[in-house]
Amino acid sequence: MGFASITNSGLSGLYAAQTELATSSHNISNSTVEGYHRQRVVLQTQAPQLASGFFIGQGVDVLTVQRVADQFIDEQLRSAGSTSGYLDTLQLQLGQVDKALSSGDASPLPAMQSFFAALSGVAANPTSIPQRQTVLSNARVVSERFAGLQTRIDSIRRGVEVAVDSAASELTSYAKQLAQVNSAIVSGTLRASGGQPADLVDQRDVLVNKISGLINTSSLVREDGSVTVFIAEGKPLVDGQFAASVGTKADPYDPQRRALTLTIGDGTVSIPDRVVTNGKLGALLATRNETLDYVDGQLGRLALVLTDQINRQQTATGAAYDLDGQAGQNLFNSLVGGGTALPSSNNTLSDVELRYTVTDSTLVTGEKYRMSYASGGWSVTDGKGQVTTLGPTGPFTFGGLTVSVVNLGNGRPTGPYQGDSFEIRPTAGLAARVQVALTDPRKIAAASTAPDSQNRARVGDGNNAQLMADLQRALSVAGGKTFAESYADMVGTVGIQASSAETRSTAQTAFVQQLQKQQESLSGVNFDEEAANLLRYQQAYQASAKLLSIAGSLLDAILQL
Amino acid sequence: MRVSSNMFFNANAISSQRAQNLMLKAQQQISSSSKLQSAADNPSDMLQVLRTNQNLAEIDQYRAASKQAQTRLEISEVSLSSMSSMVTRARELAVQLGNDSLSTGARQAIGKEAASLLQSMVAAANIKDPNGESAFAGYLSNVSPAGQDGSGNWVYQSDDNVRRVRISDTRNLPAASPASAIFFDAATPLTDDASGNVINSNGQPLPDSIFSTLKSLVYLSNKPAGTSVSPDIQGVIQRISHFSDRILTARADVGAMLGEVEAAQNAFDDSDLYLKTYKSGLQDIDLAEAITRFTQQQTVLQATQQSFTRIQGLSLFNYLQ
Repeated sequence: MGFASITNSGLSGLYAAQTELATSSHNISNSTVEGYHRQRVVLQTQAPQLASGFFIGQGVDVLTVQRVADQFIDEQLRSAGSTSGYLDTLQLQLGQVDKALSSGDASPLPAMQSFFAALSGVAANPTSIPQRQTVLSNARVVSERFAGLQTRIDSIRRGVEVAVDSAASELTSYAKQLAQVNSAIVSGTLRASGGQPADLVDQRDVLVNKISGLINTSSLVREDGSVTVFIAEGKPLVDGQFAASVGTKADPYDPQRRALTLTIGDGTVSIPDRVVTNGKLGALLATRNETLDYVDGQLGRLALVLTDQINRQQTATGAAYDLDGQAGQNLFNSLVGGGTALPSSNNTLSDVELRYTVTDSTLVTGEKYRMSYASGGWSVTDGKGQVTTLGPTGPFTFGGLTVSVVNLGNGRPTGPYQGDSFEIRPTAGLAARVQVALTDPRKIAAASTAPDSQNRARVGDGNNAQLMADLQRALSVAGGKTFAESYADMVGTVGIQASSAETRSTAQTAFVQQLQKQQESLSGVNFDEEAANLLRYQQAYQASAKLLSIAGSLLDAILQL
Repeated sequence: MRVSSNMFFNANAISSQRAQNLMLKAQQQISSSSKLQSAADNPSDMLQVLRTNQNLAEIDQYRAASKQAQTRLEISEVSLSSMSSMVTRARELAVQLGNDSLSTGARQAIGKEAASLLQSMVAAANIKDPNGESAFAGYLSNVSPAGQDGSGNWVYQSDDNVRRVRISDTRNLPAASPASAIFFDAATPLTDDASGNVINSNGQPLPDSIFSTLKSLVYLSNKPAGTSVSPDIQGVIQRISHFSDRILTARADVGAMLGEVEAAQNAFDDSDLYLKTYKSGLQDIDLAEAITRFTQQQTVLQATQQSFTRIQGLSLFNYLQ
């Protein structure tokens, strides 16, 4: 009895020390692995044996290998990581827009100032051809600046669309990996007697964190150790070993614009932008839907109002004459002609088309409108979500626009149909289309007085040029702003958005670092601690080995009797 | 608190990153000497800067316009001043001619001088500014205001509009007077003297311009000795005085406008200086402060790096042989 007990204790001690040494080595080698939580061997004294009326100890048992983790800290980190993903991306994207708008070399503002200065020069000196030429060349710089900035904004927008696509494929790939890890955990847990496979749980949490960094999630850990992840307000992405895939499709109104979809098995549902509120994708969609659309609309509106107001003054009936006494012509090509509203791809096939023109550029706000047909009448929703009922046929007038409903009669069914909707972006992209129509500097209508009775042009009259130059102080832009104020407002609005994203991102980084510190403090590996433990386990191993040798020598002593 | 080995690396990475970020920001500010790299740095200051830029651009426009006005007014002023002395001389000649006892030769000498005064007067009235525009024309600035019609009468060929130049948000300064308001006076009634009597003894209408007046003077001085011209010369002298008053008034007006232009230009300089100082306060960096900030972060970075190498050398494994 005695010998067996010594041998058992020795063996169990050897086994325990081996497990501890192995765990310590595992800790050291994994210390820098993302999401690794240090592991610890939990030992328990083996049940004693009753012999000769005493309980004699039977050595040690390895109860489990425990993963040192605090679920509360880990969950906080996950949700903070989602917000970090959102704010870091937002800061990056808005920073680009902010820099594009603030750059003095690219801004149309100084070009507009030079253009108006040239007009004021013509007002003071209307007969000078070089001075008139300055107006035209500065007008060209204005058009180039508008186009250049639009190109910049468009390229940021394309970058966003590409990033949305690649974030969607990342999500799909993480979801697949997570489903695999889930099933490995479930089968591992089933086979083990003591707890869940710690390393797989680490992998599982890392994947959930990565998904949270991309989109808003909620997750639920099951008893078997698998996790169920919902994204974008309750859409199941991963459930046990099943993974859905995230993709993109074209926006119903605009094929260039990507909208998110979720495919589960054979069924595909769309994920509306408004439920994507966090993570990288939340930031990308917010940048596109709020900032880029705003800048696009505002920049286009400025281009529209500026060119329209100058053209109106240049062609004022009976009050605008060029150097040869001819009535003035448009200085810029006209942008007020409008266009065709974008039909939703969900509309019923019909011959209906909505056409709009700008009737008063000073009322145009730069927002987009959605027109819908229901119960025999049209209604319009503006950028603020305000719905106005219009009537059954049109033409309709709102926001400086006139919209007419046209039946093309092209053989398609005569519409409109219940539920049809169209989108109007009256100013989007207009900045790229500013062009100078005049080439002859004599054609600038500087004079406001008609030629005299002998048809002699009033060449010394610069009044109309002065009226054009005065437009720089006129509150022509809807909301009571001058051209410069309207541009400055846009720069300021984006600046505030970018600066707020930056501040929030910095604060969020500090918060995440704090949480990471807490997590590291609890779950991180300390080499000195492991070194000390190694010594301890080594000695325990040596002592247990010694026990076996003592037991052996004791047995020898008996056998030699 | 328990410390993990990763925490040392993380802490080092975080504080190096922070120090480098701040150094980069300070460095960008120093190299561009501007606090506002973009609107996000300070949106409200950026708005103020853009607004101030617009104001400065407008001041530049007003300044340029006021220089144009100044040039045109100065030319008018010079021209009017020489005309003023010509008119004085013409009056002297007329008074001399009023003496009916003058010989034919003396009359002819007066006639020659009067003819040359007329030419000079026409040239002065038709003077052009450096842009080739007639200073005393209205909107028809490419025609000479004083010209002769088919029958040799002096007529005003331009229009009556006053050219104006904007020198402030609210002021449209008249930057010239049309010749019609100075040298021509077509509305002269036959009875134009203080008592309302007909001055011209032969009942002819009085000359309707300074040029016609001088032409009358030439005409009268060409009459042979013995022919009395004194009754007619009274009308001429009266007309010379009339136009002399007009020229003087026009000169005073031009002087006042020049004064206004000058005052406006001083005001531009003041506002310009004020706005530039204001803008500089918004966007220019305090170089000493920025360099201090940069050096401070540099020190932090160095200390971080040095402490890291020390900490990294500490490990129990070094002692486990």
